[in-house]
Amino acid sequence: MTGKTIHVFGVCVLILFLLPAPPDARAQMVIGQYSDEAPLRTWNNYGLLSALSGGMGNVRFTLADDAAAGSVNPSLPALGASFQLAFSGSISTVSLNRYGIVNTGVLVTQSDNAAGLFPLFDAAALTFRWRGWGIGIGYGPLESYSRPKTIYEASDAGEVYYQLEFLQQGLLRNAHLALSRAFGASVSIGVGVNVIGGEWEKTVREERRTLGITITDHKTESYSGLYFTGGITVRPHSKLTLAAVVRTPFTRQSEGTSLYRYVSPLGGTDIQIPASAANRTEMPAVAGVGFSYVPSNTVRLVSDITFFLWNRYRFEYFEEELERDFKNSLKWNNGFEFINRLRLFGRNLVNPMRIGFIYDPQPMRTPNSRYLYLTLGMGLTWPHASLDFGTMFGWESGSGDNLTVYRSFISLTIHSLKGDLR
Amino acid sequence: MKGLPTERYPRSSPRLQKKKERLFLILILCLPLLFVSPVSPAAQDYGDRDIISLSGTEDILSKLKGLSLDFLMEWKGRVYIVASPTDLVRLQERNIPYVLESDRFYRRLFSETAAQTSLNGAFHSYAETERELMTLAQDHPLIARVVDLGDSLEGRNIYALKISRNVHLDENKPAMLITGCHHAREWISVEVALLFCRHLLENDALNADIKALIDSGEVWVVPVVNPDGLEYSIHSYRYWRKNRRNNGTASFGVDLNRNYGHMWGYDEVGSSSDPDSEVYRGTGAFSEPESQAIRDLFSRRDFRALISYHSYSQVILYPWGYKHDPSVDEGLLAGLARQMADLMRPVNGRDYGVERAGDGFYLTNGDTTDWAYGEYGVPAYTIELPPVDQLYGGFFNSEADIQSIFAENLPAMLFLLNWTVSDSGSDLPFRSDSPKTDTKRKPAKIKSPRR
Repeated sequence: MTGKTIHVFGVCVLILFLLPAPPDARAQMVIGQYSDEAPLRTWNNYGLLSALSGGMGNVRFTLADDAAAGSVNPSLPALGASFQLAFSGSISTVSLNRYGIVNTGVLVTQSDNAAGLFPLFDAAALTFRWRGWGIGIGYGPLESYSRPKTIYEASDAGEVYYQLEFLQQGLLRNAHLALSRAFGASVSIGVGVNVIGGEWEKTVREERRTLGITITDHKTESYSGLYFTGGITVRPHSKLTLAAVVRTPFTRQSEGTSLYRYVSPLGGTDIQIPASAANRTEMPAVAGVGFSYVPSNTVRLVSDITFFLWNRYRFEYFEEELERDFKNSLKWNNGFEFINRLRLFGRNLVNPMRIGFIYDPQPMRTPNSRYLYLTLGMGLTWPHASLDFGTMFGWESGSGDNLTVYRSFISLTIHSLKGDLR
Repeated sequence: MKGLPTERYPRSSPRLQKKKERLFLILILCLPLLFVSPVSPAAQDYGDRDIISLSGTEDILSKLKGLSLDFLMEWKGRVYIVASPTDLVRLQERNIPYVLESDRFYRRLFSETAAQTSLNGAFHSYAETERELMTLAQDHPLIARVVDLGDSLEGRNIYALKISRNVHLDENKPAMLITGCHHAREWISVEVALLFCRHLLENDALNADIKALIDSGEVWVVPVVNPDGLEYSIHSYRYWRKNRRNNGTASFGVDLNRNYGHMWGYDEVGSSSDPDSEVYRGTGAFSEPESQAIRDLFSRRDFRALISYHSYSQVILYPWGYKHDPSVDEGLLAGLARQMADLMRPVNGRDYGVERAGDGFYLTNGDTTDWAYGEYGVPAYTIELPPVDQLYGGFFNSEADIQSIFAENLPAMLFLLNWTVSDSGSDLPFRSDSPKTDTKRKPAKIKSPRR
């Protein structure tokens, strides 16, 4: 291992892992968007995430070497390694600004008070290529609806006489099965079926202990749904890959329950207002195109453009359609990869270094906000396995809240190749 | 694949290929397992018992002696107990306050038996109120008309239902105004107002007295003055009171019933200049579009009486609210209120108190009734609906109580409407003793409802 290689490797490790998470990182929670169904971070979610793409601008449409990318482009497994099995996870520090009853008039926190840590398993993905057929299977969370738990207590002489508590948790999971077929020399077409499921729960609980009064607002949802993906990948040249993808619109169905309850034992009062409903969220169709250009053995340029048809978004909640004034959005992901080769621990390793940029406009008309992300990533690839790391920093503008996002990924991939996956 | 860089994807040996195929099949078969939720330990079944917590003070603990309670744990100065219904009764008999904690320890699936319904059950949301008003107007097109008084801060329509014979004509008949939901959490006030509309319309053809009232007068009902607050109360925080004005620095809301233009901001007792306060009066009189909507409506019609419905306390309040002193019309105002209370009592046996707001209740400045009386010289009442206090539900009313609360208020509303139509001419204007700021009635010009 040369001194120069050690230097580059060391610097990259420092950049990626010694950078502390911004203490005031905030997620995508702005006024008009403190609605309970808002996903953490961005609204523009599509498919499963991994460290490989996460460090490279989260570009995925043409990345056959990313097992999780089959969730967005089902034609990729027919072009990738004959076998890939990847596990990805991430951590994300989040300190929300406005959500639920917090900082919307009831519970007031200082900017950093509502910090939370959301460790997340991101994806388990398998791709398999055999005689021109490709199959991809993946499972992982699509969206998180969890919020930091927030409690306010008022006390007198050390005894709490009033308490207000807010708690919300939720996750939407996705499993996909992609089937693809390579035609001729350089074309692959694929379709995917995706099943979603998940839970959501919110509790607002108020205690007036002096009088023994408890007021509870408890709501739950249980999600289900099905959607399809399609993709075509074309390699007109050994250095160029083009892809087009589509996701069908789908209905995220949920069985919702609600209970308002007022209990005053001293008055013999127990008032309950229960409700249940079949809720529906009309999730938008997605379409996108991407390219990957490999001018040399050491460089790769990638880009995706994704169109989210948000103006068709509808949210029907307990027999009422809640107004969400959304516009369509066009997300732009870009990445660059440089292949570094090094010898580490007595082995020859491939060490991709990645950088990316994302422009991610949010669907709300008011405020008109967007995220700009910078991503960094690196990998270590040795025969039949690779380890990837990625970090995303996002800065929001437009809401006036200067929201930021920080997320760090790690992926382990076991594969059939003796070297670089690309 | 021909044309692809196959040298990077070498084919496996037949033996390895078979292994891969087997592995693939195993993984495919395992896929359904991903959707199997991890089995959670069965929740403790406490049957009909509840977990409660009590203050761990010596005073409380001494009262517990001899009760043979099932102590669960002590945590953060509270004692947790598994209590049977009998235990709860005994605690209540000893006047020991406790907090119900069962929901924290195990989930009670009340919703399993809940009918498919909207979040607030039999109470009306903004959208349901809108539908109800439209339906009433469509079903009774000759005597009911929906009028859009303007938009709330978040763009919702503030609706009024006008009920009168020849409803589409401006005949300038003596009118009475009924409002509900100035305060978001007071859901019952919406129901009483809506049910009154329905009662009048459905009995027009059946009841000669009601027909006469509709012939001779106008009833204007604004069931939801504060639609943004109502929606926030339903979806986010049940006990929200104000509108949804963003005051900055995470402070939201103006108390609409402190935002009217008579003696607005008179002192810091009857309202507050602090945006965080529950009784924040806003940056100026009528700074809020919701109160402006009521002001503009009132200025354009010949209103002779007003009832503003609120909860809770079970009391009829009359001006003044901004000071302790009685108005010069104390006798008339109190007399009408007492007659209303007398009519309400026999219905369900509930006794509504009659009080001058600033004297018997608490001081309020910038409220609806002081403004209507102070500026227009008409009798104006705040009726605080049941329950009587927090122990019996506070701002919560059970769905089963909606009809009975309406029923006992119906004779009061009809009485004041009858007075409006028949007697107000001889009594009005009252001699309000406060300086007036806006008594000029403007010509009728009301927008058609947006659908």
